[in-house]
Amino acid sequence: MDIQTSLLLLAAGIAGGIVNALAGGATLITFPAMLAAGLPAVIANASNAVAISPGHLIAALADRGKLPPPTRRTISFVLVSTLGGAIGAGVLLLLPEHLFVLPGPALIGFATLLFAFAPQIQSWTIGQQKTATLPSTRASAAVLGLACVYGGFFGAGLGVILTAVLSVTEPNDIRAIKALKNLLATCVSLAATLIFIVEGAVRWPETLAMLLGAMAGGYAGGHLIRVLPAPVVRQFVIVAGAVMTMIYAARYWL
Amino acid sequence: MTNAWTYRRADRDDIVELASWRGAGSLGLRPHFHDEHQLVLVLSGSRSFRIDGETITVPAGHAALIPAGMLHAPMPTPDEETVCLNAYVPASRACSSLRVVSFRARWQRVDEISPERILEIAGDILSRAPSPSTGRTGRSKLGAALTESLAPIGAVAASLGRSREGFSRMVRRELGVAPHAFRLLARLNLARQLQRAGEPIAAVAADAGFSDQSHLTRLFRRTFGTTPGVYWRD
Repeated sequence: MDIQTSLLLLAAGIAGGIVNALAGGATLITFPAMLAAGLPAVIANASNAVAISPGHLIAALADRGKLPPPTRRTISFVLVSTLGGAIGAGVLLLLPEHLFVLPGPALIGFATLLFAFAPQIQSWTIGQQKTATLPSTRASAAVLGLACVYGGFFGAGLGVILTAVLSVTEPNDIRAIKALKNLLATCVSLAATLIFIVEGAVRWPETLAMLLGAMAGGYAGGHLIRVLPAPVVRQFVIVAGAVMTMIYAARYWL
Repeated sequence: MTNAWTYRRADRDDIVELASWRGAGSLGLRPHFHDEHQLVLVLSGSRSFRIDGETITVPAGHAALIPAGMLHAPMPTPDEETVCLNAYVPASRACSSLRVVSFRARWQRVDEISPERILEIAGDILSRAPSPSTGRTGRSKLGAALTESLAPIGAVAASLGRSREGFSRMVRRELGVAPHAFRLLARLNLARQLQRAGEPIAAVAADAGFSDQSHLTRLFRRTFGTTPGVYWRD
């Protein structure tokens, strides 16, 4: 890996770390950086997942005080998301390369839209709680599981999806949703990461450069919270995601 | 330790030749192209190429097809042990962009890979390649104009109705190297083809327009990673 590429990955990692600490959506910046570093798409995706996984872990640890008590329901959610993440990662590695490359721009675009409309999605899902009774554990776990398969497969926008699903299934404790979301996202990320590493789908030099940046960025993000307002960071991520969607649509589809 | 590439014939028409390399931490080569499609199979470690101002990495378990005529500069491999097999296949099916795919096999040694499997991987990549754009034919026309006559660059430029400087800029933009460098690479490819046909090195050097055998040897090694003497030996 040459110096230019290392610096690109380090910078993308720092940006991703800051973005994740303030607003989320780092993958929309870091995954294209892995592609720009010259990695094949599936390897880039797996390496990216490993590089930003410590960020999820740190967020989950920081919020552990707000977690709901370990009822049967939460334990089954944890198990389901771990399994979902592992299945998603397995599908990514088993699928022929072109079946990931072709929908790639659509995946980036979908995550950007999720991210852009997160506030609307959130207020809509919170509105649902008034009409519905608490959904059964089985139904909730099934929906969560599907979301987590997507999370293990691609991952961008998983936080938005999880928040939306949890605000429908767990409407009684709004404050616990964020902590639970972070815990489940960590389970997905760790399960997927483990599979990527065991299957040798991770390019370590690129991953370590980005991981280092992401840790530094995550740390800096906590201190930048007064300087960089979250809405501005959110808009930056949406614009970046839109630009990346167009660049990769032009590259893979035209 | 600088390892050289080991070349061998595949003894069949659909694979022109095979080249293998094993080592760590060396072997950056000059930018060059081939008259055939080059299939790069990386068994362990990784290989990186500089193509069109971008770095492309081919990790272990992946194959890349570098289309005929595409300028690429192999970059030094990192310090991990790398095992790589190149197969050169006739450019009978057009392809205009580089593609990297994973092959689902864990080979340890290059001789475990059958020619059938090589052709299958190459065919798989080529069958998914987009049909070549018109830009490609513009490129090959330009390349042909440079190599089919021995006239000075200025005369070739004039025959296309361009100034020497304007022509040089166009060649650099379209082909990636200056006109003289492009001609030199074409002659190195010719030298390689003549040697493959069994011509002695001294005659090859003369026929491909090199001032002497050592001139050919020096440029051949910097570009293709081995000397003509070693390349030619069966």
